[in-house]
Amino acid sequence: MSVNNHTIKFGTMQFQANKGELLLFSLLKNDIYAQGKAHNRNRGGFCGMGVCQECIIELENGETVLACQTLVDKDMEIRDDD
Amino acid sequence: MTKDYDVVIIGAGFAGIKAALTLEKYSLNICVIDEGILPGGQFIRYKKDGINSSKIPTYNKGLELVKQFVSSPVTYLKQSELILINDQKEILVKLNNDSLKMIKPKTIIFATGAREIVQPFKGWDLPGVITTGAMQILLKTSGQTFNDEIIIAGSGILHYVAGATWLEKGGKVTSFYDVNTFPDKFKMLTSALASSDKRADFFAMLPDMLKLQMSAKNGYKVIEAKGDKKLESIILAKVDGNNNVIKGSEFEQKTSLLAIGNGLVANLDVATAAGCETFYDEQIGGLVLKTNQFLETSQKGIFAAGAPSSIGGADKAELEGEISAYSVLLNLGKIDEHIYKELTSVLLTSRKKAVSFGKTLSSMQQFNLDEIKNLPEETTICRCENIKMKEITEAIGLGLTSINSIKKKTRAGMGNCQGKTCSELVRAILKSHGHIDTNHIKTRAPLKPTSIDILASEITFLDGSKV
Repeated sequence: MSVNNHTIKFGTMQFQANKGELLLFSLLKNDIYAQGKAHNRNRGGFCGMGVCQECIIELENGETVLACQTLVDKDMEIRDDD
Repeated sequence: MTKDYDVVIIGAGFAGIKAALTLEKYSLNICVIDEGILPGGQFIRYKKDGINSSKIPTYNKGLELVKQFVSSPVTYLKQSELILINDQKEILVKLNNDSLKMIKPKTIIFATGAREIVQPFKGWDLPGVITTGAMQILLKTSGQTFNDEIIIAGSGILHYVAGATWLEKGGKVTSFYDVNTFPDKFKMLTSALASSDKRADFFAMLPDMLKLQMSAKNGYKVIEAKGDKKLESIILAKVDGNNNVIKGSEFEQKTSLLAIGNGLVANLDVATAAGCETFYDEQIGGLVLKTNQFLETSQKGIFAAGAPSSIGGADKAELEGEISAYSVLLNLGKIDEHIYKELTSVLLTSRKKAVSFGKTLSSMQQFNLDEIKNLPEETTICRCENIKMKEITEAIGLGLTSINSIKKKTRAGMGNCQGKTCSELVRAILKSHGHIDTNHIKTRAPLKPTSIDILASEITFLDGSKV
């Protein structure tokens, strides 16, 4: 595993992502379309520019962030309530 | 003693960066506030250590400006959100370390850019339906595609640019649908060629655009997205010369990803919170700020650059970034009117061309009001609060004629995005019923979702001194 890779966990799923890439990109690339917490996860990244707030995710530490406004810079664990 | 900022620029896109670099030569205290992870706005996706040059000359020019900007002494607050702004030019900003800072500048430039608008259809809120802007951003930031297939649809020019970028990154476009007919596109092409900067961009993108054009179907639009928990297929239909769906032409196509866009609308939440007046003119992109020849808004000492004054793309943003910077210098007494005229005369001529290009863009991005009026009842309008078309038309039926009254009645616009996605749709629905609303949806502090413990924390000036 390259030092440029980080492990992303989304619920029970786990995959590698490149350091510096947009978290929303990493999720979409791994077919995780419904990231958003709103409306029983029946929402996902839409605008990609921090406007629609639909890719809001909750990290294991309780912090909520927008996947489109977050660069992968460490291993990340994302809660999946679905 | 707190550092006194001469000018605060909101937004580090093309306009904001150009304004900052222009002002920087005049030994002023400049602060740029931007919510992006990296400078450059939505157009220039600057990566500190990545390769992200492009075939498009305007993009590379922007990249150069960003490089100059990051090595300039300008105070740059990245990933920072405006929580509050008032008509006294008092700004409360949340920095990326979650601390709250107060800034009271002498002048402000709003370079807040634009966001994409999508004409709603049934199922447009399903995961897997994204804007062409999102598609572009993801492509530019990562340098690669993120799905095996994609269907691109829309009107105007953005979906073309996004499609060309997808092909440039080695992706495959399953289908490309354009609402606009060929004569519309010809008009767009000639307007693009009339502006010298656009000409170079156009020819750079031409090979990929031609590839797209070969598979493009003109005069089609998406009328429904279907899927259980995410997008599985879309229903398309042919449209006539008036952009109306031809009954019986509907067909279904399977896809897991749809990128769609119908143009741009200016971001004005912060400017209107600061008391700047708006007006509505669909020829220049819908709701924009009232500005005079100096790009000064209705609020003295507050200026607008780029999309907030009218939709017009990167060239216009850059030109107005520079012009607004000179207006700030004039306002602060750093230059006199004679010098001002000398510095801006050529820029103002170029700006006319850019504004004219913007008008062509805007003429192709207008909503189809007949369709808007007759959207299926269960179509989502406010995505955050899950408010349907039925509730909006019922509110209009009760005699409500403004975005703000409909917001109070239905909650449309009260969710996390604060109406940024639905307010322009409600404006269009109102218009389809003959009601013209020329005001921005009312915004309230905090302008961005902010946790209570942050709001309750101590506020200081940027240098740490007490407010």
